[in-house]
Amino acid sequence: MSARATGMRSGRWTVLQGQLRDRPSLVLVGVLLLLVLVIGVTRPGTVGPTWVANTILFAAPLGIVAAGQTLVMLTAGIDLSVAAVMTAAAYVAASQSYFGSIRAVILALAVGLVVGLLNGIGVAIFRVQPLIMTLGMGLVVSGVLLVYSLKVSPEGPPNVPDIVRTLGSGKVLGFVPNSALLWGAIATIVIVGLRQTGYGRLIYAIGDNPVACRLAGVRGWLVQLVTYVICGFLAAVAGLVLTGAINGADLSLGDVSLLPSVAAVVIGGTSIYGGNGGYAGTLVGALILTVLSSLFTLLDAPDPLKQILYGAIVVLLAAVYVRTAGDTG
Amino acid sequence: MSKRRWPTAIGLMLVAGLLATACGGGNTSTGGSKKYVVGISNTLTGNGFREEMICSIKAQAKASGVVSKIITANRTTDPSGQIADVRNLISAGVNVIVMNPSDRSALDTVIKEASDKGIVVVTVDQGVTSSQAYQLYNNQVKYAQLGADWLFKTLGGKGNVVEMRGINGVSADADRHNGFMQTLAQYPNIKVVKETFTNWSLDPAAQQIKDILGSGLKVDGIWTSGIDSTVVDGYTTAKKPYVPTIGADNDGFIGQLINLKAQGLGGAAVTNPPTVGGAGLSLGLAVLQGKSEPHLVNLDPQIWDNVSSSGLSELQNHYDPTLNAYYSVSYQVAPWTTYTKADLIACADL
Repeated sequence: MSARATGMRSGRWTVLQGQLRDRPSLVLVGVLLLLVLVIGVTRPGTVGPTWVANTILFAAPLGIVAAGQTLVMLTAGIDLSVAAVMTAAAYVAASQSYFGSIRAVILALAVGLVVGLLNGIGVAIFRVQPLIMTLGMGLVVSGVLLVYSLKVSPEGPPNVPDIVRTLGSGKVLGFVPNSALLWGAIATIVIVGLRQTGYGRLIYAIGDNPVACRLAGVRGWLVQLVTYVICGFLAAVAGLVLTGAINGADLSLGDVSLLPSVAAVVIGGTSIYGGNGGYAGTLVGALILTVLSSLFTLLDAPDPLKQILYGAIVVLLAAVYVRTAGDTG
Repeated sequence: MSKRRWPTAIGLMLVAGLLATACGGGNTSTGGSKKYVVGISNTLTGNGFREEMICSIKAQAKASGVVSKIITANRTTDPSGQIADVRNLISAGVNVIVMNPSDRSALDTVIKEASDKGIVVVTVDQGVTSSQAYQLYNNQVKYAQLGADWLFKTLGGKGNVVEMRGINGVSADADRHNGFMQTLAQYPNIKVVKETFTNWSLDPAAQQIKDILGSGLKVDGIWTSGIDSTVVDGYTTAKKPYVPTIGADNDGFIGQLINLKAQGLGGAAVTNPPTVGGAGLSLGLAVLQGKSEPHLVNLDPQIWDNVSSSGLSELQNHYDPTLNAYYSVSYQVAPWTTYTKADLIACADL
């Protein structure tokens, strides 16, 4: 092999790496397609329009909650109360459906807004460490929900409101899940909002260098506050979509989404130190995690092995991402 | 309860931990009859089964008429956290502790500490190796055997089944899996084509059944470890013909067995009463009152199918359309519990 050929190859690699750095989610899309291919090969006939629709249906709640998580993590924060908010919103909607669907949905969304506001006040104004603030709020929300479920809700059995069920499990033209449309709309707003609006740029700025922001006269606390409110709100929306997809609500419904909501963001290339990343990666991250769990359901392997593989793949993804995108976090 | 009492209730919850350590207890005498202080130790919150278990303890305490106070240590924790909780209950001066043990052997030392102080310890739902504890729980091996046997018989001893288990590594799941495998050994032509862990959570179970239905795998019957109505819902949404399904005595599933029978849903519910809590308290109070009781009470689960007329009438007798889908309809554990169903559902403190 001549030195010239090697040079060309390394030159191409540099170009490729450059492109990947510009569009890091391309790597993730590649991984996603690879996983789908594995399912297609191991279980021929599985991957089809219905499978795609179902996968998006189950990825949507995770994708929506991870949208809020992305915003918060871009400000160098984290929201560990999202799972409790999802559960609470779902449970409140189901238990209030007795009084009408609209009221149920409004109350459920209010849960998210209130918790988000409290998180925001704690983090932005009282400077409580986000991890501690949101962890504590999560426990408070779970406790209040428990009291609510025992003392208030027996006015009728929890029953998922019709509009929530249509939203979570209905399909347009019998194929496109309604929740996918909602998710698409939220994704567009978040992606465009982060790129095009002043608020979006401030999120990055605060995550990158809060001191410089303060010196530049930016009201950082307000940006943080708004971000936590949006995150709480999106968690409540995700809870509604989830309860609609499952057609049921219990006191631990959202628990399983907590770590995946953070994992989707990290796999998607958003730095846990803030200031770097975006929602496009998270979106693919949420799809990857959902396809991974499908893969493990369909794979005939012992459970411990599946757990090891799941953990290893998540770590590998994060590592591969850093190498190709050149982002050292 | 009106919504105005919320803050009080929340406040009470917040100080519960403080109470556990700060308040002295001991039996008090009122009007000549002895009154006892009850301690509850539970290590999983936000779980419908566990909440109903605690409610049954409160309801039985009220029904017994001999309980002056209940101190609850209820949080999601591990055996070491539970040991700390039980030590707090001991310091608080309780007379009887009803606990859902988080480990078979790790709690033996603290159970001994309590017993040495004359405190009666009753473990419910799961067993422990301690010889001092009184134990009352459902026979989980038999729970699985009853359901599996009904399913395999209904399939004519031939076909593909899916086993949807609980949480890997939990003793109840291990016992049930053993029972399932023992029964499976008697039916050589039944094949387990898929084994999943639902973690007793709705979301994973819903996703798994969607994946299985979408994979084109031929499934003739499903055995679930309790996340049942979600699985049936998966069939309904996918518009696939129902297959015989085994679940627990959850209200939603019982309702499906009754209401979807005409649409072709066959199945059976196996009892696994969370009200072992109230039964355990009843056992503990009897011991405190000097009665001689066995150290091990193993409850025999029952199976109610929607095919036989006797099974169907049991299902109809227990179904309550006003309850949550995952509320267990085993309201009582005869002969131990004496409360009313209304008291159980209200879950009121003393």
